[in-house]
Amino acid sequence: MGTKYRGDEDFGFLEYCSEEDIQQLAKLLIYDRKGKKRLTTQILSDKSFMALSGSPEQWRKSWQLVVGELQHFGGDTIVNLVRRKGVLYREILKDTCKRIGVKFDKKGMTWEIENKLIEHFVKKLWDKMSEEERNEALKSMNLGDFTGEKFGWRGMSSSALFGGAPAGAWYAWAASAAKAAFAPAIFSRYALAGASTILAQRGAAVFLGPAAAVALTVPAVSGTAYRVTVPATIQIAYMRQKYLNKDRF
Amino acid sequence: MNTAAYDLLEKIWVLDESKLNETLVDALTKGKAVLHDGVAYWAEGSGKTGVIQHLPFKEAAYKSTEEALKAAQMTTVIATAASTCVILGALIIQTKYLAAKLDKLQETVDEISKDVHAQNVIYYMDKITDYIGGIEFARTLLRDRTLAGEISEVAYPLLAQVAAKRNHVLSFIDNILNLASNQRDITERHYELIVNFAHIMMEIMPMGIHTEYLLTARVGKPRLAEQILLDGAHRYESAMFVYKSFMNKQHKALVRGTIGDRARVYQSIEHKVEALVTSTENKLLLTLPAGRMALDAA
Repeated sequence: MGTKYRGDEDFGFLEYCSEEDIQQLAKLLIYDRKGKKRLTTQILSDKSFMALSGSPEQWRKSWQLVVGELQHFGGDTIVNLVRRKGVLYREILKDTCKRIGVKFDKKGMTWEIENKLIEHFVKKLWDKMSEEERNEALKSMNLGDFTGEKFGWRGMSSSALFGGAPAGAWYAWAASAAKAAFAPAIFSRYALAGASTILAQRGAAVFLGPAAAVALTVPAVSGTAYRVTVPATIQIAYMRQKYLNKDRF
Repeated sequence: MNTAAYDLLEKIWVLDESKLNETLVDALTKGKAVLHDGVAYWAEGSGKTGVIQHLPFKEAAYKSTEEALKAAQMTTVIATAASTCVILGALIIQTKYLAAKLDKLQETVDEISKDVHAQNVIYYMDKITDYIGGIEFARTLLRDRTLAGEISEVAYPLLAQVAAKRNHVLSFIDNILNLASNQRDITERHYELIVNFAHIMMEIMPMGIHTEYLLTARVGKPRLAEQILLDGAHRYESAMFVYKSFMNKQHKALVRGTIGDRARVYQSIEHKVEALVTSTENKLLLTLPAGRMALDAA
């Protein structure tokens, strides 16, 4: 594999992210579904990373290392060996979206494509959830008004449903679902609860089954490691949304 | 503190607490006195009006701004904020504290003036240099306390002039940040100049407003001085809101990945902006040390 970071404007915000957010992104890259370290990962054995051992900012200060590895996951492993550099995030995102059937404007901004990815993922998940699970999820996002008989998911435009939630709530929810689906051994229910927002925490339990079913639709064997890039792009979309909702000054 | 420690090349006049009279010490202890430019007045609610004492000063030398401010906070009689304000005022008037910042501003102005795309900016530059020139002149008038009786005729029109110029500058900052925010065809270099310029102005403005306040008090208009400080603080706060909104917008563009070649400029200034918005020094400069003074009975 490789971890050499390729300058990428879409990753510029990561240096402002929390230790926990970067660590969660890294875990998606480092560990497989069963919680075993991937053979290809190099983050944990990287000298600069090891030198930061014990620092409360070990992950934050290693964000380039983390996304450097993601950039290499985004390309074909054999091809990476030759070109020795990874793929830009935008390409990884577009490729991932195409693979899982997300409709998006190829000329759209990266964050707009991320919106489509989240919307697609949530819808897909939603279709596999029981009415009870949906109601529970809606309540967890303070969308209780949509529950019970008042709720008609199929007849409702996605923008109405998405727009009704507090800013970023669906992103947090989707990120937790993606972790539960693609790395259940690492992100246990307890870890999930601690990992995301309170909203996602309360709704975490409901998507464990449906999310696993969605994860199975993503191909396991391929030139590009979609089982890594799908949850990683969802996690990045969630992180971006989270920091967009905060004023820096 | 958002300012670096400038070496104080000359000694400054600071308050000599040992020579405060008993009436004043008592009033200060009970919160019944306000200080404006080295003069203690009876405060609103004290039941008395007028001057309590012209404060005694002594000469002192400090190695740095931080040292001087620390000494101000060691006071036993006067509230820390009031004492710090007295020292800040002395630093602005008597040392290179403000001059060092003005030099930085001048460099920026010179650089902008060379930019062929900035003809519309130059018009405003004249107004800003007018303001800074006015503040520099105010400092000259304030430097010698014994001239208080002679400077009034010069000070009155100067104060009116700098107040008007200050409002021009604050409007200009608003306009120029809007321009930088909404026009993508501004070159990276021009963008950098605009951002740095707005930032330096926001750094200097509290000192400028405080200087206006001191000069007004020096010429025997302490209530007007209070008004100038309060109004100046209010206007500065509005300008700061615009500046913070601008910087937040830049930050959000960076998070979205759409900031483009402006990222370098943004990242070169973001920590200075953080220091500016949390500056306790500016807050002190723009706050009345201890309420308002009492008015004479009609």
